[in-house]
Amino acid sequence: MSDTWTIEGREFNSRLLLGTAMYPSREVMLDALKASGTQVATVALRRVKLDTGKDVNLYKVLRDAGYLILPNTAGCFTAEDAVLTAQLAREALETNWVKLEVIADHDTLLPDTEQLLVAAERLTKDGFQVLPYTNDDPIVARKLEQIGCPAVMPLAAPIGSGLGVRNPHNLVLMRDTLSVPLIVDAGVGTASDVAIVFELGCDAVLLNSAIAKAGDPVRMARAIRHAAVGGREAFLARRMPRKFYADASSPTEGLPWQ
Amino acid sequence: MIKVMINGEPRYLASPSRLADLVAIEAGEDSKGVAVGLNRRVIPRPKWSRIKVAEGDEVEIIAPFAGG
Repeated sequence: MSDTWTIEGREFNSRLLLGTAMYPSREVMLDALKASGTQVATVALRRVKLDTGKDVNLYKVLRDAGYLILPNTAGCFTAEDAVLTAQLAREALETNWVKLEVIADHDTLLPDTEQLLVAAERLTKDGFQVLPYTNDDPIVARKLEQIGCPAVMPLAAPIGSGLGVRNPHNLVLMRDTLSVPLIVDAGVGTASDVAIVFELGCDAVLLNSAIAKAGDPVRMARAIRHAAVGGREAFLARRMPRKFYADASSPTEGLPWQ
Repeated sequence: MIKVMINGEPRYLASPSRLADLVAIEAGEDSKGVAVGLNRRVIPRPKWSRIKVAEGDEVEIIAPFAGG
């Protein structure tokens, strides 16, 4: 049974998008990406350094392996910097897709949604397909959709925290009020967190640390791939209602000696 | 001798160099995946060989790195 989803007309089979940072090695990163089944790999844009050179090899191996490369604007604190970084990314990677991050401070890495909305609007007008990393705020999400973002990417918890879904209610509110895909970006820590995201009805998960920082990243990538399928299937199967008291599953009549 | 900033570092050039030459020095001959900014504007690849840097210019040469 096919269960695909689309961003701006582009169809995906996998509901996972993976970051490429912090793996023990390049080889483990590539094996983990493969094990996860992802079709999208995110990258950052940084200054070429004379001593270490550029990481063109990363670009080449991701491209040759057939991944859609999604550049991010990580590290930008203002709309102006994020717009410039996105424009550099478009030039470097020949894509008009961008994961838009505008961060408020180093300690929380939470999005500055005021600057995010400004940058999203400028980039959309400039022809970008903006995938914005945002707070779990349904109103900001709605504004991002109104600007023309082809997907909205709220956090489950702060970047790299691995705390799992902190506000499931808001994610469901967003799912019920948005027409564009809802991609949970950041904060999942393990397979069950990913399953919960999909059980809530979200369309996809973008993650990095949960896999890269696991003791066995490739195995965790596989676990999360299964969790995504399990959670999504559970959502489509429509779970039973919650009840406050017990409800016996075996017949209550015909008991012996009663 | 002119002074320009390349990726935040001061560089002294004997004569005004073309952006294409600076990219070749900083990033190597294979510039696939590289982008160039000049004074906070993105310069499209076809223009690298036509634009020469001037005193005080700020050049950014960027490429993809592992990221989340």
